[in-house]
Amino acid sequence: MNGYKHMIELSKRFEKAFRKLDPQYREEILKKIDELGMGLRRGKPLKGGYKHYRTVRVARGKYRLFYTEPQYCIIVLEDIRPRDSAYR
Amino acid sequence: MATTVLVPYSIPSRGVAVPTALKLLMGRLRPYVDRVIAEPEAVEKIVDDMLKDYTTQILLVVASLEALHLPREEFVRVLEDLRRFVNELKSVGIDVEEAVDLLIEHDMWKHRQLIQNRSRYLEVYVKFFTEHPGEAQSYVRTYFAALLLFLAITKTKDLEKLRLLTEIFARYAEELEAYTATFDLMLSPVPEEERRVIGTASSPRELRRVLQHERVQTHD
Repeated sequence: MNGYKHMIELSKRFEKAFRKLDPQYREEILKKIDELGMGLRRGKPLKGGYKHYRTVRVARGKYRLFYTEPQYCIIVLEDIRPRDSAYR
Repeated sequence: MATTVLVPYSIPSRGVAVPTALKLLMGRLRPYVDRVIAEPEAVEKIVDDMLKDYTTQILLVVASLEALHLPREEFVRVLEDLRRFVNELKSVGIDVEEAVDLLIEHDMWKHRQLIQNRSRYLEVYVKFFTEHPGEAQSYVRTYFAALLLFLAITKTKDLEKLRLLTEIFARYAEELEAYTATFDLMLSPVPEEERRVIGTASSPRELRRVLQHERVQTHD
């Protein structure tokens, strides 16, 4: 697997949240981040004051990854949160 | 539109007493649902008509208040029925699982905030509606379009029609997710200090190294 098209930057919050994840989901999430880094996938833009944020569902939809693109070819991983779903 | 937990109660459920206002609301929504079934692509126009219906608006408010007092066991039972319904559709080749999940997530999130975190939640809602009125209007349209489309799916037997409704429903549910995620960040923003960048990665291997993730399965 080659290098990324975009530089991935990790925030303190993301790193902390990632470490708390169940190990079974970590690799799946990393693969999704690889896709973002390679430009194979792009998240959904948010609304209102968070327009500069994007989100993707990860780990079989159990979590939501938030990231920003402050500059061309830079992705900042901002946070990862469990989805609030009683249905799942 | 702090409306919440309408979706789980919109399908016939076994052994669960549907509260009065919700029952009345579902009856009141029926003509709009029938219009959506007849013309799914016109759902936004139908939502606009629904939003002008004063009685429906009152019932929405009362039904939402009623929903706040429903016991948790009832939710669990209703959600089980909802899952059964989704699986029945899946057995005939109609997959609404992801879209229903997004819609339920949105409703349940709002419900939980109204129960556990009401003043903060209302503050966020008011902020969004006052600072971004255009997007707030789109949000209301998106939410009710998804709701009416879902109700239409529960009332339709024709497979071709179901496929079309499901496709449009999925579009609105995906759009709704952007609002769910936005409200979540507004309610619990990442503190500025925690947004500080602590590492960078220019390849999958580097990413795993920075995160000290042992199960490296890449070949770079």
